[in-house]
Amino acid sequence: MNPIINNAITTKQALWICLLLALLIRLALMPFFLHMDLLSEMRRIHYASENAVYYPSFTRISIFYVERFFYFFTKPFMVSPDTLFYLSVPYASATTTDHFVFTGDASVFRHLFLFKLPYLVFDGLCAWLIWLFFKGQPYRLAILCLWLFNPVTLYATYIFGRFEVISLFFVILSAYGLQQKRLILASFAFVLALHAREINTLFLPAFFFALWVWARQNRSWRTPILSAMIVLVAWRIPGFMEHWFGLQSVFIQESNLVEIPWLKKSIFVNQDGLILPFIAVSSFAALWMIQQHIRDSDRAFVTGATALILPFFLAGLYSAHYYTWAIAPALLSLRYVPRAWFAVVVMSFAWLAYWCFDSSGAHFTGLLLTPLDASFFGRPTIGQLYNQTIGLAQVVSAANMRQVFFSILVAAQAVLFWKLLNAKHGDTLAKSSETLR
Amino acid sequence: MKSLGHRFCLALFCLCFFGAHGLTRASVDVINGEALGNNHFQLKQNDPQLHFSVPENVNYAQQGLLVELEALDAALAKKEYSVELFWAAKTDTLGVSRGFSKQHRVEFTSQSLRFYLPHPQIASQITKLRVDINNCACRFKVLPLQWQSETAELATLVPPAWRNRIRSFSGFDIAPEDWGGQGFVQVGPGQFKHGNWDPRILNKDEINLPFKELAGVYFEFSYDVPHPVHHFELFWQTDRHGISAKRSVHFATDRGGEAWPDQQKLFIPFAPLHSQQRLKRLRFDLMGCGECTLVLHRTRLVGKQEAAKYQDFIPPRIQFVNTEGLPKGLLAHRVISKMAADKGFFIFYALVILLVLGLLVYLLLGLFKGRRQL
Repeated sequence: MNPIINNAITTKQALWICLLLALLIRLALMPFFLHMDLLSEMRRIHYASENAVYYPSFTRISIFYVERFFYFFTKPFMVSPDTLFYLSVPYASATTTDHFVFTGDASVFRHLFLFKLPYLVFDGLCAWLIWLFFKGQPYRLAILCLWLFNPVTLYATYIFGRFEVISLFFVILSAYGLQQKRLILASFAFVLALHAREINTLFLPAFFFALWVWARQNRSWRTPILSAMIVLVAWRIPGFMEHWFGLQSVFIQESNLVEIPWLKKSIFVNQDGLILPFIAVSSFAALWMIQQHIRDSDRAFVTGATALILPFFLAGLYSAHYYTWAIAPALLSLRYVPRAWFAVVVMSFAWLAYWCFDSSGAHFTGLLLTPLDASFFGRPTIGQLYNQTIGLAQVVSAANMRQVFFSILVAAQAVLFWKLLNAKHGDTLAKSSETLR
Repeated sequence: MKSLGHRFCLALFCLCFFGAHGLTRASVDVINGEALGNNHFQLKQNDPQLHFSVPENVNYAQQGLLVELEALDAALAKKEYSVELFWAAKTDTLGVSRGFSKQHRVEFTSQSLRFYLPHPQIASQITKLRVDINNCACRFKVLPLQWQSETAELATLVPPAWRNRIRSFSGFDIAPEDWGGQGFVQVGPGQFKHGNWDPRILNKDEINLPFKELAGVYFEFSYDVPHPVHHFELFWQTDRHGISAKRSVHFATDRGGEAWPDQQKLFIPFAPLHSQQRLKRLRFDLMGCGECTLVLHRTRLVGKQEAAKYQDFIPPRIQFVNTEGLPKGLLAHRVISKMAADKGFFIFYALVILLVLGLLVYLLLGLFKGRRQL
């Protein structure tokens, strides 16, 4: 390395520069973008807060309490919340009119800023955990930058305005707890993750696999069994409460009920072709990992989670923000296969290109910019503009380009998947770091 | 020397004479044609124009202007003429298209070449009139212009385009019978019982007026919704486009803890739409309510002349969604105005951004300074 640069930029300085730059980007995005999902979320929180509701529904209750906590502190700075967040229960999802009434008010910018504050905090906490997770690794600043400047998480959190970072924080905390040999902490964190996002149930086998690895290595079954009991009981608590106390969901038409309710409906059911390759690839990963004799429980969890979530995106990307579910485990997996960093970069930018070529206007659309002005709604998307110019030639049409970038994304996923499963436990990180240098 | 009484009698006689006959004489000029004398004119094929200097209407009554031309070529007498009518009032700025503006123009066909222009607000202000008879190349005798009150016979001579012009200028009510419901069960003229969760009403007869000539639409209605906040949408169908969320207005009313008033009054202005198209139909969507009844007391397409009276009924937080025909620079202006409306937040926001940016610049400068020292 160049000695001048080495002396001039210390890790601490570089870290601060990266953090400030990342914060600046986030602040610049926060007040100006809105999707209806975020408004629906805030309307539910407002309603629950005003009507002393402590059990809104059986899904996403960890996110509900986090958002409600922040709502309590930010409410004094809100303007006319009773009108702008008005919700006619039980129909909780915001309509186009709700959206435009909200964006039509001049206070829309401050509300968006306040709404996204918990996401900014949890995004920061995720970055902090990633920093800790990669402690002692010479490339940890590069990994942190992969999180801080990742287009997927930036879009999902600050443009689309989804709460994925809260859920991911609990997933990463579980991995960190396992790494620190604090199984009870990891178990509670994982329970919170399960109650944050339904997709995290996909990681349940990976978590139990990690407990099994821990028990095998430490020749002690008491703590892993206790951890497993915590996870299983706490996971089902809402179900028990609903049964014993006759609790009912306040909101019956939440978007979450049509997304992935316990992996039964929606994606798997509607896409018959997906379930078989998913099971095949996941089973392959599971069998491979078992015969690999992984010795670290954190590695077992991260490898298992990554091996489970990557096949989930074999047939499609569904909604644009869903891909954050893959990004966090993929980043953590670089602890064991640092040379696969390029695959994560390619995955992220192939995702960006894929959605830019999406001409349907479902995600990368002017609707997101309507807080600035309503006329952005209905303006052509990047994909539509492309189709009117370069994409006129069928071979390079937006639809074809989208498929090209999806294929590249799947290829990058396959590289990460293969490298992760193939990494021998004996491969020391130091060795990998040397290769990187 | 004539006495004062004599002069008064003479003036009274003149006034009575002209008032009774309503007859005024106008000077006529021709462009792209030839004056043949005795108010006879030969028009050319391309863009012939008859220019009338209209004398003041001395009666100030509810009158209109009768324009009559007589075809001198018997073979052409029954032909349907394509007529363009331009006018200018005292206050109009002349200079466009030889003194007439396209904004003050109506186009129609006429068989008799007798047409009547009623309505005091427009007709009585006209000082200049231009009549173009297109693709004719024939001879006409121009009869003197006459100020006359509207009669049943004269009403048949009003060009439809002129009628529309009057409607857009002074506004008109849409009759309760003209509204139909979707998601509503109609129980009487302008009365609807709720049918499902997406109730809406829309007018049956086409309006067929340019958006830019109307000031907006006014609703006066009762709707016994129990919710404290009520959301509405307005959509429109034009000569070019059907109903779409891309062309819509959204707003909410808030009763603020009080009971809903017996009649809600809303005015939705059209100016922010900047639409160059012709309005055909309106659709007004109301918030769903299981057992509610809607009673339309009055709906009116508000003309520009009366627009000021309705400004107080514009609902707050009204949002206009229209992506076509926005003037250049308007978007930036609207964005800046919206931001400026929440100064408190943007001052705080700017301070935070400046703080982060300042720290970043400080670190980067320190970095370069350190490098130089090395």
